[in-house]
Amino acid sequence: MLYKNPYNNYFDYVVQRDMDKCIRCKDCVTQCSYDANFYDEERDLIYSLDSNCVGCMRCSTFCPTDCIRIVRNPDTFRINANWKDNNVKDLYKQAGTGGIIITGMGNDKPYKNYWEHMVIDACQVTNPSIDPLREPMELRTFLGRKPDRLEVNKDGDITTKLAPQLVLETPIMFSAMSYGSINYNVCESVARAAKELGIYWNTGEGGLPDTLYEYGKHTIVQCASGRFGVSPEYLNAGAAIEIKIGQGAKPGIGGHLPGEKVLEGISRTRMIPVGTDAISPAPHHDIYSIEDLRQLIYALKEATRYEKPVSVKIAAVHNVAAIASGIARAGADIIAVDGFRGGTGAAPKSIRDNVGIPTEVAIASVDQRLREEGIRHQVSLVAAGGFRNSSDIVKAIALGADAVYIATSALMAVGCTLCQQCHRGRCAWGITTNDPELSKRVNPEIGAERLVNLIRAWSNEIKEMLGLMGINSIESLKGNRDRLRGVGLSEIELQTLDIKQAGM
Amino acid sequence: MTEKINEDGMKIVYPREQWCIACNLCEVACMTEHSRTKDPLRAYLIEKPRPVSRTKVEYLPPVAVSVMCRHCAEAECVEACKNGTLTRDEKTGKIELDRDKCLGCWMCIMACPYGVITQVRKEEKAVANKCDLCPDREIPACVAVCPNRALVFEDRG
Amino acid sequence: MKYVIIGNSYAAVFAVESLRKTDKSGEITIISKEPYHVYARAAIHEYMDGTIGDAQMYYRDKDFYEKHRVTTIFGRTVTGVEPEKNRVVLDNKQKIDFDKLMISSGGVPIVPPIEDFKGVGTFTFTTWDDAKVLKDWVKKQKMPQAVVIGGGLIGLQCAEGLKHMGVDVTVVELADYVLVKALDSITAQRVQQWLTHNGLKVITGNTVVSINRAKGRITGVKLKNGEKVKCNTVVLSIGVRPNTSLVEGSGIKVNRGIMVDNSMQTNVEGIFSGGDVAEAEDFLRKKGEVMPIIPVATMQGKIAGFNMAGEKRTYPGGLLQNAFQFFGKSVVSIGNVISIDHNDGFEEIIKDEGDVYKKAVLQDGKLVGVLSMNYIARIGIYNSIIRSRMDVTGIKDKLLSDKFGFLDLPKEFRDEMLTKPG
Ligand SMILES: Cc1cc2nc3c(=O)[nH]c(=O)nc-3n(C[C@H](O)[C@H](O)[C@H](O)COP(=O)(O)OP(=O)(O)OC[C@H]3O[C@@H](n4cnc5c(N)ncnc54)[C@H](O)[C@@H]3O)c2cc1C
Ligand code: SF4
Ligand code: SF4
Ligand code: SF4
Ligand code: SF4
Ligand code: SF4
Repeated sequence: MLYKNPYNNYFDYVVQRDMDKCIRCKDCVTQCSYDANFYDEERDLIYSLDSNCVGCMRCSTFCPTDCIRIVRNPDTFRINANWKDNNVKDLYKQAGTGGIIITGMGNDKPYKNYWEHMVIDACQVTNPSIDPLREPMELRTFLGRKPDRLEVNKDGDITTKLAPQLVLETPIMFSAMSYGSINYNVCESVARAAKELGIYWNTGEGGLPDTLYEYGKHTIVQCASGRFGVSPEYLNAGAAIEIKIGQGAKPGIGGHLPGEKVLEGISRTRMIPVGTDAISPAPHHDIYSIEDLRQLIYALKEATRYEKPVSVKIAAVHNVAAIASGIARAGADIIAVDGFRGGTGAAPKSIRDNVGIPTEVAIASVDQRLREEGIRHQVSLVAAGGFRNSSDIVKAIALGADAVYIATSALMAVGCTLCQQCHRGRCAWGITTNDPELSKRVNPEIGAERLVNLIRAWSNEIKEMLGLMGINSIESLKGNRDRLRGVGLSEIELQTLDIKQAGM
Repeated sequence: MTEKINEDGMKIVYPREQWCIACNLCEVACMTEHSRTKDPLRAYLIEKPRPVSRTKVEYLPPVAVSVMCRHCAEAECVEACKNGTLTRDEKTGKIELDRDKCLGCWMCIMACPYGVITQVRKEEKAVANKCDLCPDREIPACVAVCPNRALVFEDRG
Repeated sequence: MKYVIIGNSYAAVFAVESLRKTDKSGEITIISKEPYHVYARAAIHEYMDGTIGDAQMYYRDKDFYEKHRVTTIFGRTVTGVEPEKNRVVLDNKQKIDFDKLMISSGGVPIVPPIEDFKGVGTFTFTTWDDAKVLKDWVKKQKMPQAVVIGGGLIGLQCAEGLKHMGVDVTVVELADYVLVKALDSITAQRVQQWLTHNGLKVITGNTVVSINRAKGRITGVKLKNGEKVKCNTVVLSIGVRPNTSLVEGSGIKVNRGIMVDNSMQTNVEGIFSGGDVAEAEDFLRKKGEVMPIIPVATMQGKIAGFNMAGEKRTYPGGLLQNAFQFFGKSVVSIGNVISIDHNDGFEEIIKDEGDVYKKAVLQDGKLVGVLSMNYIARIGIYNSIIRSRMDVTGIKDKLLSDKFGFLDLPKEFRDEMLTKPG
């Protein structure tokens, strides 16, 4: 396109419009937040600037006559198995800008997806399955440190002092997404849904807006290296506190919220000036050892009178099992392990796509290690990073997770089409943007309803799957790897996951 | 305007501007609902005269709002109408427009303080066009189509 | 309770409707000198030229009186009102008692002293009968040629109707331009050009002083400047004045029209008035004014009806409004669009592009008038602004944009308008 550097102008999508079906309603024009659709009054024509299109499908889904198709740009470089399309385009882009390539959402590279290589067991003849529609099925999950043993007095009352627990009506929570990276309306949607579902949402590192304090009982407040929005009130507002050490999409680096996204409400909540970049450092500057982490965990417990469980969130990396063991010993009540398919609002593409390990293997090895050390009961394990459906969740729990965190799926429930433009702050679906015109595209009434629908649907499916395994409580599935079999995995992979080959 | 009371209480369409995303679908739905074929494509491209939406989406980024008839308790369009084309149905509270009677004098357009009466062609001449709350539907077309609940069908009387 | 309403037109209908909303049992009697079910006076020109038929002429359904339990006395003229006896007297000497009276006897055409005006071939044009008679007359003429005296709204509408009927029409207007009460000189000139373009002859700054007849038949008129115009038909339409003759000597105060307060009551308790006969507060000028337009007549009728039935309502003051159409072109005029005195805090904003002419008149930063030619979409919004008395200095440059709407107005105002029942 005119005035664009030709080297940067290899675009991915083409907006095809059947002009015989276009009724000039201009819906596509107002909906595209990337300036790709236009109306020419003089010619009474709608046209598109394909090079601006990011393939978010906002326009095609809104068009009342279905006349738009967003198609892959057929324009192609010479086919090359080594130099794939995106390698070429990224290189050109960087040669033009000299900058790091930033992207949004999770790792989209075709790494092996272990969920798709595990199958679930079912009862036949000898052990009866359970019909969840007729018999009670327990999905309630408790997160937090469990006692070494239970002491009971003469009257049968439990005398052991129990550590604080989070009670989940279903083993699914909304993962950390900061206010600022997503807008207020999305935060409210998630918070409302968590309340209605009897689960938890997580503030992420952006603090908690005043007006969402009413959802505190269903909120996990996060404390990250930038300490944005952290105050005694904040810590006490939530049901639990989470220390964020790392994030699956960008292990080893800190968060970055560009200044353009820091508007009034966000600045107040994060306690930083309007328009300044909110950069959280890669490490916590007060944590260089497990002992330091222990200090922070206890400082937070102290600040909240030992009434709230403390979670520590780490990215799934090579050494994750040993790290988790250290965290458990440092006094955490919950460990959240975020795999490399976890989403993000902004991450360097090279890191997102190449650093970290899959959740599946991380969970398996952490659970294994904690059991071996006899401390599995001291800490709950939450898996995060790329859950797409209820069966992924069932498999994660069978591998050893107590519950899962979902973020990308939650955003998809409110509209996200995975166009990976989160970092640009122009999200056409009104999610990862604070622009007032775009933010209102998520009406929390609708957002919350859709999230509730999704989690209810998944919960029902989980019940069905438990039933067919002859299990009537999610607790009995936890770490029950015998319920899984591998298909198409090598011996070493089966070993790492600690599951048997299908047929065995 | 005089002081007004809507004694009967009635459901009308109210915009909620904080959720209006300027998608214009309410206009398309309204036009379609009031077409012969009830098909947006035919309504727009083929039908003569082309039906005209009775709601109007105002758009001044970042704000948008869809404005249609308030079915006023004491409607100024009715008070200005030359020949009784516009009347209030005392049972439903609806402000009705009889197209066959309309003179096309635009007294109503002049008078309506909400600016919601438009013109539509009827055979050789133009006649007034306004929201009829979609009598063939339980939920008005614009409310049903609105993807963001920026329109609600409520009794706020 | 006995309610008597004199007149059977716009004001009367609204008085009946609001009376019946509040008082379901009182007796209502309507007396009208015209023998018709209530009809659309303002559409008689379209009836005359055949654009519309009877069905479009009736202002309310056939069962209107029955539904509202109204006794009608049609074809009778009220000749006197006797407040101390609580009764009115009819032309046949019949007396009708009332507890509450509404006088909405409308206006009567002003007839100036024109030599030889009386006789065949001269007409006024304010009633259905006028239209019927004129129609029949014109049809009988081999080469109908008409002079319409008066270039006001009614005169021009009559002229257009006659033109559609194939009459050769000349309009004679005393002022420098037509529609002098509703338009400014620019729009008036354009309307005039458009009329001429459509075959009307328009003479301004002149008037008819005498009618020439031969054997009783009109042969032409003589103008003030001595010029002669050939014709066989003369329509007089230089305006209407309040029809107050029936209250003469009754003690009911009359200035230009019957004077009423903001409840539409005259100086005599229990006697109300509204419509073209009444003189009530002008919203902008805050003084009594006769405003012979439909929206004012109906609103006054409504307020009078409520107050007669005992439901207190206050008249907010009348606002001049008019929508004209001549040969398919529309003009809308709201409020004060003329008499601009720049020393008096007045300011004009004009947008004149191609076919479209729009003007807003501001006084001390507040909108007081809007005039628009060939663009009338959403124009009624300006009424709300004028009525609100809001300061519009901040939105002056947007005021006349085609996109102008509620989003250009303050949020509180918009919410008040759009989120509450209308
Ligand atoms: C041709 C024409 C075009 C018009 N166009 C417009 C227009 O475009 N816009 C606009 O706003 N206005 C227009 N007007 C003006 C509008 O018609 C008047 O404002 C309106 O008719 C006033 O209504 P009213 O109820 O006061 O009385 P009127 O309509 O004048 O009616 C008076 C009633 O009183 C009755 N009556 C009178 N005297 C007596 C008596 N002594 N005894 C018994 N009954 C009596 C009459 O029979 C009649 O029923 C037009 C008028 C005419 C004639
Ligand atoms: S709305 Fe999305 S898919 Fe449509 S043109 Fe714009 S960027 Fe492309
Ligand atoms: S949304 Fe569809 S019908 Fe509307 S202008 Fe765009 S392409 Fe045309
Ligand atoms: S359909 Fe709803 S969101 Fe879209 S323009 Fe109309 S009112 Fe606004
Ligand atoms: S058209 Fe206007 S004046 Fe008439 S009822 Fe509707 S909003 Fe009220
Ligand atoms: S209620 Fe029906 S007629 Fe009224 S604006 Fe909505 S769609 Fe149009």
